[in-house]
Amino acid sequence: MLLFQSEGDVDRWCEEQGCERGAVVPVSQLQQLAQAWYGDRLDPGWRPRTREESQALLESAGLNGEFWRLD
Amino acid sequence: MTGAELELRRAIFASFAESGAPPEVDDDEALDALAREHVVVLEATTRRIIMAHPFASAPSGNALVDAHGRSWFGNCAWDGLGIVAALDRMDATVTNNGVSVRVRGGRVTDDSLFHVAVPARSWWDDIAYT
Repeated sequence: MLLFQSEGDVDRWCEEQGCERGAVVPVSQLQQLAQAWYGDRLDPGWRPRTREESQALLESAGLNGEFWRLD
Repeated sequence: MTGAELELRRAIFASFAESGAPPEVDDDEALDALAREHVVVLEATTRRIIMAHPFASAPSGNALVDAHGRSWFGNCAWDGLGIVAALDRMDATVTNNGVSVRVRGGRVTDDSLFHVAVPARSWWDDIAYT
C-alpha cells in the first residue's frame, strides 16, 4: 500500500515491480476509511472487530467489489 | 479478550501514542493472544512488537506522521492517516513513498493516490506487504 502522485506513477511502479495493478483510491477516500477504521483505536474498551464489521467499514467508505472482500 | 489482554492492549497503544514506540512486555501469554487476534504484529525471531495498527515501530514503519513537532510511524499511508484519526489531530503531514499528504483542519488537502497491491482477503498473508 503506497502513495503516488498520479495514475502514471502507479503504472510505472507496477511495471518496475512486475506485479499487477491493484486498486487505486483517492487519498480523500482513504482518509474517510482511516477515520472509520482507526478513529476509535485508542478507546480503552476497544475490541477487535468481526470480519463482517470490518467489511461493513470498507463498504461504508465506498470500497466494494471482489478486490475488497475479506473472505 | 481476557482482562490481562485488554490491559496489555491499552498499555501498548498508550505507549505508541505517547512515545511512538511499544513498551517492554513481560506477559508473553497475553502478548501471544494479541498477536493471534491481529492486535499486534511481532517480529518473528525477537518477538519485538513491530506493529499495533495503526502504529508501527520506527524501523519497520513506512509512513511517517508529523504533527506539531512530534512524529509517529505507520506501516502505510492508511495507517498514517489512521494515526492522525486515532490521535484526533486536526493538522498533520503523512509521508510515504516520497509523497506527502497534508491534513489541515481535519481534512486532506492533496489529491494524491493510494495504491493497494494485494486483494483484501490476502492482506494478512504478509501484512508488511499489501
